[in-house]
Amino acid sequence: MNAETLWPPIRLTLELAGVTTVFLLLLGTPIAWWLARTRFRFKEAVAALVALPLVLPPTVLGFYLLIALGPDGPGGFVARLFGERSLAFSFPGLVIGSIIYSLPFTVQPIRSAFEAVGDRPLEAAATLRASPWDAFWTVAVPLARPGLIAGAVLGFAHTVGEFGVILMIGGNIPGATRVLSIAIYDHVELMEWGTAHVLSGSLLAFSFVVVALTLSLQKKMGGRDR
Amino acid sequence: MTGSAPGALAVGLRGAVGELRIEAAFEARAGETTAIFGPSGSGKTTVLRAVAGLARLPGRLALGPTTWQDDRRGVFVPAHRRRIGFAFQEPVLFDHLTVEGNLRYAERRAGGPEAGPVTTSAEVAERLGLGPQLGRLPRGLSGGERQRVSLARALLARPAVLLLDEPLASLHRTARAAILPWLRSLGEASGMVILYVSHDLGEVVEVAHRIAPISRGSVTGAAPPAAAIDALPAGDLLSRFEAGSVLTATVRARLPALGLSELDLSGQRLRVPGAERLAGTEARLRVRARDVALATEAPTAISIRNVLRGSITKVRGLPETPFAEVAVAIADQRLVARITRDAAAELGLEPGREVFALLKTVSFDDP
Repeated sequence: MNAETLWPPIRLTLELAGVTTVFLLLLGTPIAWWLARTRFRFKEAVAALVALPLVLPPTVLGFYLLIALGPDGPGGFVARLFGERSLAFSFPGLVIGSIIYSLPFTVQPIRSAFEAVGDRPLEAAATLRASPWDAFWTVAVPLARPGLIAGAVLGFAHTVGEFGVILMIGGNIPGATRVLSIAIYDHVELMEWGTAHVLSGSLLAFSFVVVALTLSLQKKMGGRDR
Repeated sequence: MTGSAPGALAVGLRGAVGELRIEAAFEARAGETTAIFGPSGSGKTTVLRAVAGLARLPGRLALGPTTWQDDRRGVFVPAHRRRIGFAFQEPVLFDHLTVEGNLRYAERRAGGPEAGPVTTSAEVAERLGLGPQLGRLPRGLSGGERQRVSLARALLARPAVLLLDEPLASLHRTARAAILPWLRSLGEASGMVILYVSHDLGEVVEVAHRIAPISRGSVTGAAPPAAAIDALPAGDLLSRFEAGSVLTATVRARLPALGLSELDLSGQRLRVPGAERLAGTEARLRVRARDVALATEAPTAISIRNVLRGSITKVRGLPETPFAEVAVAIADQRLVARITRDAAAELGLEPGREVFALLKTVSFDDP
């Protein structure tokens, strides 16, 4: 057990979760806004599609992603533009898989927060000559901030804890796709209990800190706003 | 009057919202406060929202030369491009901003002085008594405070059309009495159109240059207060709003020891409770029809102090009631009395007859 075996999977995991969270917010916020505001008749079908990873076994999702990211799927096509053969078993592939897998955890709290804001503050903003774009940034986003923070934290934490999907599409390449949860699995397979203990214990502490921080942050903001 | 006074608001909308059929056809003049007056559920708020562009009713809307909506030409200017200010009945404040932040939000988007300097934030804060609240968050405010912030924010948007939906319903009488004349004069000075929605006749008479009565979704014209009240249909409207007359008089003297003011009404003398008005100022009085009794001879030895001489112009029976409404001309003003038909017949009241009107209660027309 030394820093050289412990550190790479931790760093990779944090990188993956960080990059994924940025994309989750960029992608999830407009989806959540649309779901909260549209009168489109089949919006719940779209919502179900977003929520699908909640119930789908990670291996099933991973299997389809593997095909999509592989040489014969759209991922392979994109990879060839950059001179690669496939997006599977690569960091970008992991990011794509993580985004899809964690999307519902980000979209749901943000959508609820936007729904709680409702029409009226946006109408008031319109009567004060704020364009819809202006009102989105100056009224809707600040009022929905607790939901946005919850969405980001949950998306990040869920990506850190990911296992099945990554195993399917990322394999176990040290430094490239070998994330924390897979490293722990490996150490257990190899009966390296000590290393598994250290990694698992850190993940446990990290998760606790994240959840506690989120809860206290939400409570603090709720208290200030009330 | 600033150079940018954009002109009158012409409303021509007709359509249905849920169960209610709306027909709105009236004009609201620049520099005037036009009150849309009617009971709750009559469609007042819907008309206001349609003018703002928050709701859509088929038809036409124009502010002076600017068309806001014309369905035949496919024109619909969205709410944020209309020069409006809107104070909702339930104030909608931005909870993430302080009171001052809410006011700044409006100011920053109001456009330059060419948009018409309706008022300044300092004046608004002072007139509406918001100074102590500026640093607070809206959630801690009382209902009356929220309404005042909402009104201030609407004013600071430099509107050409100010839409007020029962904006002072949560305020005390005294606070309202101070704000209403100020609003009215702000409108006069800036040339903006004020649409004031209310179900309170006293409030409406105090603030409005013209009243547009609304009933079951239909509002088809605005008239000066006295004429509009006179024209209210006799049936349910009459009893519901305790119809009466609005009289204009000049304060002659204050009698603080008696708690009264002495007024001159077309050459006749009146004494009215309240000694706050300055001598020489004009005051509007509201007299409810049921508070007026009529006599054919000058009454003596009677507790009623206010007796006006006039001549009957009209007598009409109120359908399905034992009452009749008698209109009395006092010089060029009109007073309405509600008495029983029986009494009208026994006294031989008919147009042209000289009568003495006994006013049981007269009040300054404060809300």
